[in-house]
Amino acid sequence: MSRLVDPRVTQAIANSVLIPTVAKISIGHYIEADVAIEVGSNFVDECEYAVAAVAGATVFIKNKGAQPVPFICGVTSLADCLRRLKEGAKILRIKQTAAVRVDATLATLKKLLAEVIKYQDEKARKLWLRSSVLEEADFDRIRGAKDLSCLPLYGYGGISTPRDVALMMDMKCTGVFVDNTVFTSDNPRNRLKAIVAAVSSFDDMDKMIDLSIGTGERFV
Amino acid sequence: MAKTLTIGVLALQGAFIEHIHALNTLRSSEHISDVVEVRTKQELDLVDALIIPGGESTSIALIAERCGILEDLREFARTKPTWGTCAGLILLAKTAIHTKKGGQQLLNALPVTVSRNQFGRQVDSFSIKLSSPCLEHVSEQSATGAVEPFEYVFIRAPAIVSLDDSEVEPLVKLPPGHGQTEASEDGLLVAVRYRKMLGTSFHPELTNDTRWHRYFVRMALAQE
Repeated sequence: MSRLVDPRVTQAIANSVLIPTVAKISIGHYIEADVAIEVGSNFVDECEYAVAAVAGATVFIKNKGAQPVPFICGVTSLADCLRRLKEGAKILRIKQTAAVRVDATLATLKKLLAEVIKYQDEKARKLWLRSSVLEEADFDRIRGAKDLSCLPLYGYGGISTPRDVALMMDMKCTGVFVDNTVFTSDNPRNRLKAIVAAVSSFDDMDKMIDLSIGTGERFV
Repeated sequence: MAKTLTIGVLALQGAFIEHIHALNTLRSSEHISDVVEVRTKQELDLVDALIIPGGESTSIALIAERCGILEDLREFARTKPTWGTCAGLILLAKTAIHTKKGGQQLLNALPVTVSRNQFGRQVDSFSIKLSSPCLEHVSEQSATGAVEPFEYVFIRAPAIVSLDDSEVEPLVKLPPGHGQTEASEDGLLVAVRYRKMLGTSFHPELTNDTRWHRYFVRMALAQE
């Protein structure tokens, strides 16, 4: 995957659609962010690229809250979630490390859930605060939480069917980011419509079966 | 016994949870018996009034169609109190401009022309405090008899650019200088009322001021 896309492409896309667009920038690169926003992006995503120049980046943009558009950041732990939120990120998504597979994404979600639940325990919380650079107030939004809906967390990684979407929503994600593979499936239009509808209907078995019909079977 | 309402919020996509929260804060002071998230025809049948939230109007329509509830929503909007906010306003309208090629599905209920993304992109979002005479009956009066202005929040908002029926009542107009084009130099309309419908292009659910929600509840009650 390359780095920030040619601004003419970003602009052309932003001008040809009516829905919001998200621009991917390198983690921590506030100039790339400025350029992306200037050419019309509605959201900016600090992306974990695999390119040598920016691979493994760990220092994110500070004070995202002062930016004119919402920022999206990848996370692999609860501490990540809280740090990114403290920096002003508005949307969190699962960070891609090596595997881009639904089972890896699900494993990360389960880990996050376990951390959220563990935090509710008094002893564990004290230990956590002692070892963390985060402050008591940073944990406000997960206090008393029973599931991941306390965070603006989106499932991401290997999601390409309505059933994958339902898996994410069942884990109480706020939404999902879908893989590019849907565009190379047998029936992208139908599959995407079904994916969008699955976000609402994930717990309705009859609807899920209906949404799984005609979405093409070829997986890339 | 006073009449009470079961109010539904269309929960297919978008900012529905904020509307649910706003309505829940009013339950003790307004005649609301229940607040329901609506995703199915069964749930739609339970409610006396419906709010269609902000979000992405094309997505809401797409999901509604895919889930087989679009026609039911059309029927509801024609016959029962319905409030569309932002994307919900677009969906409720009979005519929308600046839409994608081929147009988009609408509920064809509110006889106005709505212009999508009138004020620009995310970076162009803004809020403005305006005194709103239409909210007088749901506002507390201060010692001087003045009514607190309402903070109107616009995020990639549409605007109402024409009223296509003499019965449509304009409620709130933006002062000139905000998102105006040559066609509407004297100010853009951002709230209208028509029969049992309320249409607003701003997001009343994003502030703690619940006066617009009170307005809708009282409006819906009066229709019973």
